[in-house]
Amino acid sequence: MAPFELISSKANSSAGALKINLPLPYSGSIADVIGSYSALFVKSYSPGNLATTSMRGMGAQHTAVLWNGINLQSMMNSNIDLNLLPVFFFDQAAIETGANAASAANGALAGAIYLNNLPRKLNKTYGEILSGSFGLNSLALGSSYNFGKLFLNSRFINRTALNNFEYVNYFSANKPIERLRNSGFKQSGFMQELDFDINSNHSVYVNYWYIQTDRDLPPAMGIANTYNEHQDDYSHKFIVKHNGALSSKINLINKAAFINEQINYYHDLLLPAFNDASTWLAESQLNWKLSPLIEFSSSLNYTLQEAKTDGYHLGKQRHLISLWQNINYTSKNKRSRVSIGSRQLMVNGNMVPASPDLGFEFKIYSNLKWKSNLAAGYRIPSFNDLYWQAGGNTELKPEISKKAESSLELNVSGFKFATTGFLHHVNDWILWTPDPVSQIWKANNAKSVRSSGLELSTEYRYKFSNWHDLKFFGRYQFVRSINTQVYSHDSTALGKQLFYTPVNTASLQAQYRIKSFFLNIGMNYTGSVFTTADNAIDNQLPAYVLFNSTLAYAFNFKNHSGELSIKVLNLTNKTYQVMENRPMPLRNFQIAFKFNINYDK
Amino acid sequence: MTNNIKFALGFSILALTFSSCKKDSEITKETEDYKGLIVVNEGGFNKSNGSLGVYKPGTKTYFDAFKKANDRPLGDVVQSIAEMNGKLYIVVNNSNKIEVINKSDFKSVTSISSTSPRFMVNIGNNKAVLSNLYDNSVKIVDLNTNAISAQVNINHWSDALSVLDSVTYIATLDNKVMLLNNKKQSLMDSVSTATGLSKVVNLGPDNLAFLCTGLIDWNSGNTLENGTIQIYNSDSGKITLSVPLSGAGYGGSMVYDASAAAVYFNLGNNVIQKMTLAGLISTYITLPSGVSVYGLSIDTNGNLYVTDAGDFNSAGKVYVYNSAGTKTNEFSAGIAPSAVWVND
Repeated sequence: MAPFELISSKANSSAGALKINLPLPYSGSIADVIGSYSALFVKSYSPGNLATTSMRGMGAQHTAVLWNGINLQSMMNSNIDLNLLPVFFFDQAAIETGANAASAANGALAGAIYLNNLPRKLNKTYGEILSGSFGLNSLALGSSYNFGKLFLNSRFINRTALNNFEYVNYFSANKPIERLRNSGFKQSGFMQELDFDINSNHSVYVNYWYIQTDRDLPPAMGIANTYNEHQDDYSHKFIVKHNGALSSKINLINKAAFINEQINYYHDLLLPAFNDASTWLAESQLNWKLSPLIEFSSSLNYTLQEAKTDGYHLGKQRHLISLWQNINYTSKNKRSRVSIGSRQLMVNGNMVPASPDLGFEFKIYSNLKWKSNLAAGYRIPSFNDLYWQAGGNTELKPEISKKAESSLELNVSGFKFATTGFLHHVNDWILWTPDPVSQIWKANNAKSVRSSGLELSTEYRYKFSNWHDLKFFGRYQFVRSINTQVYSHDSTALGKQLFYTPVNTASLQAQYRIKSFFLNIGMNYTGSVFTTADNAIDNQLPAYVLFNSTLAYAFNFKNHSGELSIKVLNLTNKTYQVMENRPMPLRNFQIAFKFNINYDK
Repeated sequence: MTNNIKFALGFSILALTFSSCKKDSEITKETEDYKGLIVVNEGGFNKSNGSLGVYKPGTKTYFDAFKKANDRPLGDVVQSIAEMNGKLYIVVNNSNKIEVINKSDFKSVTSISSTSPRFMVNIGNNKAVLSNLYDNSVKIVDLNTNAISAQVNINHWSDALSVLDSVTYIATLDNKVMLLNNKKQSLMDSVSTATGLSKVVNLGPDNLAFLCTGLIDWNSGNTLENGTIQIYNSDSGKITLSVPLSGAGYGGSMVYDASAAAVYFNLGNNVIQKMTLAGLISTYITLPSGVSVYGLSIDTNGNLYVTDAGDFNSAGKVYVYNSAGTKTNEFSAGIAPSAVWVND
């Protein structure tokens, strides 16, 4: 089973940062992994359909998703669909809810999800074949070759699902059982990695991946026609990275990247809509160990963003230049660390206010650590917010965030516990509201939100003997995310919890191993959410608890290994909805065979 | 008959009597419950949260009446409501259905399937006309069987409807009003209107008013052509008056107040204007800045009901004005309220 560290000990993060390392199976999407393990709320319309996440009660646009340090959020709407990111294409996934996540990228006001590739220089062929309920079939296949200085790794995925599960249609008089219509999903893609060691001090890493996703878009319950609503996504991502050790103290990382996203939307009654967005990026980062106790980092980033959609069919572009600087100090006795950083962004030659952060951690005892962070951040408007016709507003200001958090981490022989309290303020939140005169929906800096809460994480590992052990992970999040200023004509939302933002979420995972058998039971609790901004008592989705279970048998044959697993999702057959009137599947099954054929002796 | 049998029989009769009494009282209670102001709430598009609510002015309470009576939600985009033969026909546009309920207890009678229905009017002889988008015909509904019995090709998508002197006037999206002979159920004529035909309102003997909301550039929001209100005389078959308006809108609302011999109209902003049948326009009601009127309705006493959809994502509001134009009440309803109908 994949490793899982709820309270990361190895995260490469600044002082005070809170990071969760997520396990990465071979099948499924990042949305599946986050939904199962993190206690973050994943807004999902149906399996395989649009999925975004809300971190600490903020919007989906406030969580950056960074692939090898490149922000994948769409410049068009500041979101990213987590179902378009297959886990098989990543070697490491982590969530950083720390206040200084804002220094990671523009828009990471609430936090960041890190997806990294870490070349493991092995000669092997690996993959997984999976089949499941509702027409789910998945193949993941990879092969890596190590030629000494040169390492190549290829990965391929293909995933299809009908998602035609049954649900009770409570809009019809007799509440008949029906099957979800127009919900098919097809995804295929490949990734090619190359890592070349020029010499002992310099290496070059190249990664290109292409993924194509064709999805039918099912209607909400109560809607008669599907109109064959359909969306095709095509994505190219390319990065070339040079890593050079200029001396024993100075390290230089140069990156160039290109990302292209095409989204084609089809509806029987509408003209097709074509969206095309490209990002070109160049970045240099210097890490300089000024002394054994002080480390300085600085990066200069240039990004060109271009997009063309029906809303701005002539196309728009913008140039971003950002300078990030950070200094880390570790005390002589290693008990305390301090980190001070700032990101300065310039958009088309205009300065956006700086995003500074200050973090420190202090070892109260050898096993008890106190971390705190203060930060300010900005999110520049998306292209749609600025330019969409009608309603785009070029006068928009960046959203402003100020936040603070403090946490305690306890680590006692196999038992870890962390608690974090946080307070975020976001002002000038961009909102689309109907113009009272023209009735055209327009983007405005119309809202302020205060989000405060508490996070608890715990992790326990107990080894009974060499042949059986128990691991336990738990995470709970309490978030009050309140509108402190609202659109002038929507006073009923003032002081109310943001809609589709649960106050309580929790996740528990228990993993028991006996010899080569593994039993994993996961529980996810999502508190009730309001579906309207005014928090009307009748407009709520009830809380739900989902149980998932996996039984796996792992075996070795010579150098090779394999794992056969059976997974039961929604074990208790719970009827639930994440989005109003969007049914979700009842109990369903998956069977998978995972293998690693190792050629190294 | 043994004593045990007598006891059992007596007990059964008693039980039946009490259960019957309880049932009667519930029916009476429900009949009272559904009287009040019926509010048509469109709901958010593609969210299936449209509803039909009842507001009781006496107790100042509001509830989702259709859901209460039928233990299920209504559907997506509740477009309009019409009363015919003691039943309410609720047109649910994006659910492709017309829910038929009893006016008295709101219990579902049946559901009629039809593609993208919009409005429904009674044309007599137990027949109704149903307009719809995405189809060049209007449907004829048999009110005895509550089924679509025929369709009439009008060569346009259809929207607002009004009946005058055995003729149904059908607003289309192409600035034309199509005239349907109600007895023959056949197309008889058409009238070209000004740009942005939105509403067709019956003004009583021989006259109709057409609200044309002009033209707005979707991209810029700029007005390309101002709206017009036109008076049509059915005797002459001609438009007898065209009154230019000072602005344009996307939808617009208009109702006729017979006692004032005037129409009240709005182009989506916070101002309700009055136009006499002679074409004189004046400002009738100015709502607070920021309010955008989503729908106008009027009852037989001249009370005007103004709906405000707000952000389309929270409970909308209804403002009530008496015949003198004085606000007498306001209350929160469902999501995106568009019309009010008095259930007395």
